[in-house]
Amino acid sequence: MSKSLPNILIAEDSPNDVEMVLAALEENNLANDVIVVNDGEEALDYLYSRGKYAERPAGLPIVVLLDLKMPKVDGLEVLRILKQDETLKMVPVVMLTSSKEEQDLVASYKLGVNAYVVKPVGFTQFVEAVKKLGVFWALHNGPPPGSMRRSL
Amino acid sequence: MSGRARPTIALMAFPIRRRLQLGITAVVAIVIVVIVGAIYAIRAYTASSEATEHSKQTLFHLALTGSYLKDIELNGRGYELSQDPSFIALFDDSIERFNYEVGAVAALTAANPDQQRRVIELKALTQPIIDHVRTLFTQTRDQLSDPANPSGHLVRNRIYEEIRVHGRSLGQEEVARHGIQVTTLKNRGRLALIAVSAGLVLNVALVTGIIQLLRIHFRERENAERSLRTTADQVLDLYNRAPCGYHSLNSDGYFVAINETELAWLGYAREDVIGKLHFSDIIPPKQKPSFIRNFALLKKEGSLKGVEYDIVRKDGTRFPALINSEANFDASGSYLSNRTTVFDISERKRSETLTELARAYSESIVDTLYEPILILTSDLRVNSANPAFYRFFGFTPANTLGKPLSDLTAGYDDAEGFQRTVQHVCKTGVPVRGKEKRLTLPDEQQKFVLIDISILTGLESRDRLVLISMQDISASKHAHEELEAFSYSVSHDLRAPLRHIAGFADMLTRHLNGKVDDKAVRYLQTITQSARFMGQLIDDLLLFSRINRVEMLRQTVSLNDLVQDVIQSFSPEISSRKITWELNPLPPVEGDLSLLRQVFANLIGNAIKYTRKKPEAEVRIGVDPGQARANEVVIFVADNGAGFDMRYVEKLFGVFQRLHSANEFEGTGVGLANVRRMIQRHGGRVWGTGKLNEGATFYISLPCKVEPSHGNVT
Repeated sequence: MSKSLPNILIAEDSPNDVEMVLAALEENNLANDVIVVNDGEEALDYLYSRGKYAERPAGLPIVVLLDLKMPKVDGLEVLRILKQDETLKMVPVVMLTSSKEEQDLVASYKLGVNAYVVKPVGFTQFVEAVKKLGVFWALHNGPPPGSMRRSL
Repeated sequence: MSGRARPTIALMAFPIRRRLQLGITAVVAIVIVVIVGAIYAIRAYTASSEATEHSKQTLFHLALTGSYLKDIELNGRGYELSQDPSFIALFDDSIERFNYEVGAVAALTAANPDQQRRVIELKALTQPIIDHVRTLFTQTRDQLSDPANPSGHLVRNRIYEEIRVHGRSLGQEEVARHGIQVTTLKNRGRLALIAVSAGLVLNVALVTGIIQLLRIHFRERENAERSLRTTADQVLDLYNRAPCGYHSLNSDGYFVAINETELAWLGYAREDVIGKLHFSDIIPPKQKPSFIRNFALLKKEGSLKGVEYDIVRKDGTRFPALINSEANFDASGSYLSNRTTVFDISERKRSETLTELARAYSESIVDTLYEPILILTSDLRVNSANPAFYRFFGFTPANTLGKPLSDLTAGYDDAEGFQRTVQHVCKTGVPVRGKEKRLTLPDEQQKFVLIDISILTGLESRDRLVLISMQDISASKHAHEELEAFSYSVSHDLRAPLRHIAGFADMLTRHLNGKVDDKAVRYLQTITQSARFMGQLIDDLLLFSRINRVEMLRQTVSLNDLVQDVIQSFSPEISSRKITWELNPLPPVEGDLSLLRQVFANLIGNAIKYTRKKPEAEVRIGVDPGQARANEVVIFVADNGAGFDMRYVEKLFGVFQRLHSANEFEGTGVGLANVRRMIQRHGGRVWGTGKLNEGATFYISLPCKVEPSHGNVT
């Protein structure tokens, strides 16, 4: 098995949620392909390879899971910046949020989000949701040009 | 010109007077031609007839000449045969008569050289015979009968013959000439007759035409005179019956003319006014100086308009009048009289007073309003504003009235857009209602206002005015925003720990993986369920708090499809249940699809939930026309489930109100409260009936779908 590269970026400020997402990914055998950032600014730093991610290996994740409510730069702002960038707008973005607020849903779709997932109450349901997402983006969906392919 | 239609355009261009002149000229010309022609024809005729007469006489004399020539011959021969001397005397007599006739013929044909020549020839021929015959008278019988005698009768015969031929030819010629002359005479006579008769016919025709023209001309003049008389009468009538007063004053200010209207107003008889009444007699004494000034001005300027006097009637009562006057001057420029119009303006004065009162009334109302009101003229300048406006924006009347709108909006966000909106309303008349606007006042205060812009008709000018009224909704807006922020926060921040509780309890259960006892498993399950229930509670409460705030998207909703969809969504829960559905056809309604979906999800969900303990559940859905009021449709959802005690019916639709314990049936107690709010937003009613352990029926009423022709469809 060659060296695996992270190809799912998760931006989530709540450690509990991070742990649940990782657990759910692990249940689906996707956890070793994940990089976690704790706010929107870090997510942008990673995507633009700057700040503490200046030295990271080149390449883009095949999907970005964004929490909506985050410190400093929130999920909608990250989404807006991504979708305005000629290169980054190719990267699929999934909003992963606890809110069922319609205004958030509408705002996300207006900014060009690729999927919007409300985090379910209960781990079993969460595992199901993440499984669908992981399978969809990691396996079935053709990755955008320049993204890091999962090595098998 | 009379109103009679003219036959053709060409004749129109040819006035009747001109046509008459032409006709008369033509008649005179033709008469002259006819007279000249007639004279000419008669003279020709006379000449012809004279020539004929002359010819006749010539013929007569020629006949006589021939006859006397015969006599000469007879007498000559008579003597030749008888030697009777009496023939000599007769012979001489014949010669004398012959010569006379020849002379007559010569005289008659003097004008004809050819005939003249023949006469001379005749004479010349005759003379030798006469001379020869005379020689016979001297000879004896023997000598006479001697054939060798040169003067014998053979010679004589030849000579006589010559004379006869000559005479005959003269006669024939004259006969022929006479024939021609007679024909000419006849022709000329006919010609003269034709010329004269044609002239006469033409003349008669022309004279008839002229008479006709004259008749038209006179009729027109008559009509014109009549209409002139009528117009004069009408003008006088108009003058007298005009709705305003007319009068004329001489240079001293005395009435010289007045119409009936003004007389009636004043109450005077005409004879008391003309030449007797002075204008200052019909105005109050204190207005006399004004009249004197104005009258002098009129004489100088020639015209005076818009002067107001109080006119005093004969009975002493008064009325306000508006006076306009024009002066007449003579050729030298001195004042003759004037023409004055008098308007009774008491009505106007009265309505002015009423208008003034109405204005004060409405202004006093507008002034007490809390809502800022601004009224603009159609060129978007400030016409007026109420005290609330000045208070709200910190303007003063001095820096507001008459100023353009742009002066007031300067410094505000989107001032140009607002200006355009106002212009659009002013132009189209289509009002703008409830336009929400955020304003940052000069003191940095944030305000939210609802703006109405509409058209107002001005009191005086009837000019279009623009009414801008504002409602300060900042307070409720702030409350709304706070509530919105609160709900948003609840939705995100309150739910996250719940998810964590449930999630980690699940994860713990998995982690322990059967290594704990049943009690521990049950505790963990309770933690998870409670967290989930609280999540549901939060969802229901958030929905409840927002129903009145979400924007409704009205459309035609097919309730039949909606009910089918909702039932379908419950399929995981009902797959193991035995439920008999009685679904009656439902009408389409006007409403918000997502709200109506939640209404039916609630009602059908309740029916499924509360029939859970029945082995054979029944759910009926249909229309109940018996309970419907005007213009509404009533739909019911009935079940044979747990039902409820009608004593607690009042609590059915309250928030957190439950008629069953959580042990019996789970629930948040918000569902029916939400149903009521959603139906109320549609303008409908909700109620329910039930009996414990026998079932419940819930009714909702919705306004009927309004036909597009009645409007109200968005």
